[in-house]
Amino acid sequence: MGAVLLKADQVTKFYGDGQPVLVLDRITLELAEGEFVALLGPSGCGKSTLLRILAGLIPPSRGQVLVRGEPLHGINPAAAMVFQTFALFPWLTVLGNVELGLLARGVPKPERERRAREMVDLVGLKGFETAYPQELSGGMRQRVGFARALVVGPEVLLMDEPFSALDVLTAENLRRELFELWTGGRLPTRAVLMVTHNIEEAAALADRIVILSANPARVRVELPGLPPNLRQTRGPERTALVDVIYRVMTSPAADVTALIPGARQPEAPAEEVGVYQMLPHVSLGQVAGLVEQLRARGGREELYQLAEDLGLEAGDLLPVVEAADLLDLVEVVEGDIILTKAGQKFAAADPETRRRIFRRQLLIRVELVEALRATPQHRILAQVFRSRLEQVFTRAEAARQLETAVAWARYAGLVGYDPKLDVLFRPAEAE
Amino acid sequence: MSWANGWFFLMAAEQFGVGARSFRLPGLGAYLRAAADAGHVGALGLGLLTLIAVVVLIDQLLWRPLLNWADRFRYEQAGGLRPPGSPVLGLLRRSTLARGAWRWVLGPMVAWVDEGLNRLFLRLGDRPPARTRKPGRSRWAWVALGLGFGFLVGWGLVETGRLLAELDPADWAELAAGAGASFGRVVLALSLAFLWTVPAGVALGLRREVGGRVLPLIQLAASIPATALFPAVILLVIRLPAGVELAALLLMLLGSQWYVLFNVVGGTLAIPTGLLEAAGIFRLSGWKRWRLLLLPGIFVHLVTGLITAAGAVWNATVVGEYISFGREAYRTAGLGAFITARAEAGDTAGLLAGTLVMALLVVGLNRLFWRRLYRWAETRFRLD
Repeated sequence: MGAVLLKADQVTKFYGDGQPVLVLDRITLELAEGEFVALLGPSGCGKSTLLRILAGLIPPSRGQVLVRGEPLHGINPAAAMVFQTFALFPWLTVLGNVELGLLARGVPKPERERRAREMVDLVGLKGFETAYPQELSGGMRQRVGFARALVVGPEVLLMDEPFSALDVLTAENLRRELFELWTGGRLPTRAVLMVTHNIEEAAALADRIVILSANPARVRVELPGLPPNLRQTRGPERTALVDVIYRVMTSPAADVTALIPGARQPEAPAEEVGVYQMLPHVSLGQVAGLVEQLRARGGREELYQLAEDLGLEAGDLLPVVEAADLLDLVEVVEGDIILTKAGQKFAAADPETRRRIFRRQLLIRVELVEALRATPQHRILAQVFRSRLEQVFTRAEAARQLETAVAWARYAGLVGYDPKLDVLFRPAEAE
Repeated sequence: MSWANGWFFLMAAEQFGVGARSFRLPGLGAYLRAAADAGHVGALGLGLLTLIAVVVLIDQLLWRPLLNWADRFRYEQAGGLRPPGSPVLGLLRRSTLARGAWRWVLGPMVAWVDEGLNRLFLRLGDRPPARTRKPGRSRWAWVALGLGFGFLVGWGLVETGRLLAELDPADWAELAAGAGASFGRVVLALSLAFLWTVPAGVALGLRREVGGRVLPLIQLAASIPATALFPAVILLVIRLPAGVELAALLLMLLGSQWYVLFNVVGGTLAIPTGLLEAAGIFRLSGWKRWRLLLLPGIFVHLVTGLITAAGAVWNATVVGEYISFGREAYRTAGLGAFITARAEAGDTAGLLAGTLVMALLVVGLNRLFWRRLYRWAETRFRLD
């Protein structure tokens, strides 16, 4: 491995005024020359924030970013970035967008144009130089995004979920091309750091996979990727790696060394800041659908197999599994997802009984629903709960947490909500 | 925003003169004017405070609750700028008294009217189709109507021509010079508004939290009628060299800049975070950042703001270019001054000519300039 190009050294980030919320907790991460690293974590865990800190767009609250050993102040001069939303300038042509970074650096016009054209060729957009982004498909837009980042010849290429806004086939195609350019040494960059929530994607591309936990984000484990020749095809090795990652990500509380013998643990053992339940943002309808699927498969299925059969990415399936697990309808054992007793009962029940099971499970298992029901008042302002949650979560996340809890409780008929008044109340029938 | 325009003319209308007579209606506008005429600064200050209080109260008690309530009639489920919250609406919604009033008084009344209308329309629908009338008669009726209308239009045109023929070349020369001067003033006022609101608005909008919070304040500032502030402005600047000119310009600026500022802040807030980040990581800075990111990003909004402001500025010329203050009348050359002066002199022909020129100018500018600019902005600089 080559020299370390970019390093996050004990990077910590708090968000919010008043009661600051810990988002990133002492994250240390190295990116060396020649490496392709995937940063994997559940949605909303703060991995994009980490990427922006490494890019110098946001300052860390504590700790520092080192670029070739030098502390970073301001924008990272050695990095370029590819965005999930493409972030193309709609009033500039393809060529204009690609030239952007060169223009800012004061490269003279003829050279600027020559280099931009070269890069447009490289990403396969020859002939579209004068098109505007609106005229392009999503995949082509992201190609422009790649060209724009690569044209400046960055030491480090940072990618923020670069394929997640594309449809499956387009993403697959673009991933493959990127991989071929990278392994063929044709990408004018020395290292790549990609943020993703897609397990397959990480396994298909990365030399090294760093898995983050959520809320706050910590480095849970670093796994070596597959040898390049095994990455792009779905052989047994890749299946095994995906399975391992699934196992780690579906048991967020478990000790990683127990799951993967010989895994490289981060040096700083996480000290607990207080445990609180975090609800995954899915609907109970989706949970019911998952239970249904499992029943149809005899009550047990390998997680990644289920995801693949349903055409889902990990990021989409995992929260549903997590919710079902939370409600004790399923459990996850070594990458397999199994219906529990309650789950089997649920699967066999009629709609009214299902509702009753949901109601019971919510009351026993979900702290927030319990708290909603436990208020002595008949009616209470939702803001009261939101403020309480804001002591643990960021303001946006607190709102989403309550939204999810209320949606679940409403589904089960446990709590009523009046959005006009922002008031929670107990429905008459559940008294 | 139309509300502000209403105020604008309410203030002007309370204090006007035609010929030798001067009319004064009891009102805040007349009060302010009288205070300024008498040079009574304390009274002027109090009047202004009252005015601001009235505007704020109406905003809080009427517009904000209405806007918030109207939010339910929107088609989109999510996204877009939500109107600022309304404590008054919350209070009303939670109040037992209001709920009682709705339940026992207003609710039944609405239900009764609703029921009545329902029955009425049902009955109308039930009526057998009207029997076919003789086709001839209805056609003749239409022809008669058309003829009558045509006659009225023709007569109007002839009268207009006759009146306009009364004007001698000197009048037309004055009118042309005035139109030119006013046009220049409008351009200057809009340029000034542009020059200060764009940097200020972008700076506010880039601080997202701050931007979101100042938007309602700007809206409030915009609804304080500039005509009400005008007496105070006159008092301040009339003694300066070129005081009238300055006063007119200030009035035009006061009546229009808020629209531009509002749209610039809103436009900056609408620039996607991704674009700002991309500009950051690719190190666009200084003029390049303005040229490639900020100006194109706010352009559609900016044009919208300028169009609204242009309308307001033309309004202001009528009030601002011809000022009677105390016992004296100050005027500066301009289309607005021309119109006001002819109105005071009772010169119908001149008044008509001035108004026509103003109408032509405003409509012409709209058609030839603003609309094209807007269409271009929208196709070229839309953010989607």
